[in-house]
Amino acid sequence: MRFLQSLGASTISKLTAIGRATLMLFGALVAVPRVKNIPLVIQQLYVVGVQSLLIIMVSGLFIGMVMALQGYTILVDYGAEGSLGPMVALSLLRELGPVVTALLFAGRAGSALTAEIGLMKATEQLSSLEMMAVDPLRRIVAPRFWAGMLAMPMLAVIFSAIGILGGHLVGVDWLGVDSGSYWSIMQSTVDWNQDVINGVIKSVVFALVVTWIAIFKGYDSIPTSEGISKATTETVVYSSLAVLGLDFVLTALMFGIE
Amino acid sequence: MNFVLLLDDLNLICTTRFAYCVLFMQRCLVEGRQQNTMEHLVEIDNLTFSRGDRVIYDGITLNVPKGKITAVMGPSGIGKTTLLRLIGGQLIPDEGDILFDKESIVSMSRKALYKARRKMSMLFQSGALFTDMTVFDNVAFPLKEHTNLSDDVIATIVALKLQAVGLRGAADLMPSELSGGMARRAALARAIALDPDLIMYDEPFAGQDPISMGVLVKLIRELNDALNLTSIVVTHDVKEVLTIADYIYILADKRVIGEGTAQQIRDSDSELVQQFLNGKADGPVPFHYPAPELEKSFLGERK
Amino acid sequence: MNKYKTEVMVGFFVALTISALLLLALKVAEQSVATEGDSYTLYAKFDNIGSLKARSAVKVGGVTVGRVSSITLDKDDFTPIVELSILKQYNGFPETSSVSILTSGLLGEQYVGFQPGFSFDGVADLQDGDYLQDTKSALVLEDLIGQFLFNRGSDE
Repeated sequence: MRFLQSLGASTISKLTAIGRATLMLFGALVAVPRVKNIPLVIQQLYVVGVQSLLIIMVSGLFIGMVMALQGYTILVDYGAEGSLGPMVALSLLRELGPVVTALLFAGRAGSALTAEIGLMKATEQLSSLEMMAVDPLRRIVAPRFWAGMLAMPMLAVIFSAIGILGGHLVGVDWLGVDSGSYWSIMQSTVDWNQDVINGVIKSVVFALVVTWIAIFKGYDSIPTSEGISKATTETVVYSSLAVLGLDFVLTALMFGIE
Repeated sequence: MNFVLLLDDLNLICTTRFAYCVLFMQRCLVEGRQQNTMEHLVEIDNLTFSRGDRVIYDGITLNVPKGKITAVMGPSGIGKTTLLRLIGGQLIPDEGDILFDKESIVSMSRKALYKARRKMSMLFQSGALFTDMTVFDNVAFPLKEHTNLSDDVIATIVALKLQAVGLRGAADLMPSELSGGMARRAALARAIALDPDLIMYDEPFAGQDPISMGVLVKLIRELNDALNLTSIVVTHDVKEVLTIADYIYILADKRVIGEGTAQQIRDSDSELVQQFLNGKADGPVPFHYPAPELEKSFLGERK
Repeated sequence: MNKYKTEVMVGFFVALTISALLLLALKVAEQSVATEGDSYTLYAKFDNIGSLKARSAVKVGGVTVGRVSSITLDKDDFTPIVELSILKQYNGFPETSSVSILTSGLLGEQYVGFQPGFSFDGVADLQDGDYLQDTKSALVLEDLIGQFLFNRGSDE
């Protein structure tokens, strides 16, 4: 009986949280974007995008290099090291680009968004906006949401491109795979719609989920130091799990069923 | 130093003050005719509010007269800030009604509520300045959001508002560089940026040194009179409030336990009011949080 | 925050994204190959296409001259029809040319090997929409093993 009760209670609280999150997003996005708010989005694009750029570029470079190194040692046994290019490119474009970017983004920008909004709540800045007749959903939440939605696909594209260059660096410049075959076999294998566009679609979905979770967790946090630290942790955990779970679903939809 | 500056500064708003003096005299005449029907800006009628299972207010009624400073006092944890949030429409009461300028805040549409909020402003305990903007931008914020004034005009208004609180020289500082008292004064400048009808002060004196406290007391009084504001001051600092408030409500135990002018409150024969005014440790408001008797706890008869 | 610096950095971010997209478009997914305008279509019927797919390469002596644009099944005789899209610049193959389905490397993917035939008098060049007559199907491992066992059986 007690088990059933706790199950019911947690289901109800989860469902109301989802309801609140939906209302929050709806409240933030229902407004027609105003020209006045574009500088706010640019400001946030700087915070979530530009400031994540370094970690994304460095990670992309190293992941591309590692994949080239690992791929080479396996492919060379079959004399198929020419397939290194497509292997690196496809893994990056289809999976690693969107997924790793989303995970890094959740850790770097998502947690910062949660903490920022949570602290704004704790220091009564959100209340004070409301009392100034400025809707914090539109003034604070909406620009951050749009910036996240824009920044993550951009970062994922940069991640993949740098990874492919990193793979070239290791595969071609260090291990001696022929540069021509690295690119040409890649070109004959990689398809613009199937691989590049699908990867971007994935990262748009991840952007929605991660940014939404980050903003909601901050907005809904208990305004104490303990509450904010819990909310920040939950942002990273929930968005990482959501990204990995959704990645499977999206992969199945895009590449699994033909 | 601050006092001298302030007195100078206030000369600047003297012109407005003069205009309001005329208005005030006119109103006095009107009031003279109407005698007992004093005009109320905020009327709270039989309000009940609870948070979760905890009842915070149980049927309180209080009125805030226009153009006056009304103080709401009470022990900590009584939910005085909650009262301000209820007036601001951030919380919805379980029962009862709140009228702002004769309109019900409770049943207002969201749009109307946001419109009504432009006529009120609130000074939060922490100041609640936006930490990512300078003091200047903080004060300019409500102007930029709600008006289409040009940057020059906004700069002039901001300078005047900051001058009124004595912080014109601190316009380019970030909120983190201000002391607590200065942050509160900057927040006050922001609160009066749009010339509201009502200012709600949430614990304006908490944690202030005697000098900043004196400055704030003076500012609240002067601004109220000069700008013809209505002020609600929520606090538990008895001494300061008795000097500036025109009318005082004392809340305790979910109810209004005393009300009146400063003199009426001082002369109150309510034990509760006297305990609060004189800061006695024990009395009707018990020193001990409700608990089983000490002997029983120690002797193990917990149940 | 310096507004100018913010805007410059966001501009840099956008420029970086665009150049990354260009790299992906031009160097990685090479968009320009075999677009409709500069190619012509040939058809070939195979008995078995193995694991040939749309977008597989068509090669002449190792040089890619086009791609498989689609694979369909003939409703009358139930054999696969492979539609080959050949670049316009590689035209003038004689009618006697043959195509076979080959595998690149031991584990590589399958492609269409195009063998230009001899051209002598009376043999026309292949035109847009022509069928290639001479086709060799993909090698299927089971068939090979079956053939091997059959040959052994007849030897004894």
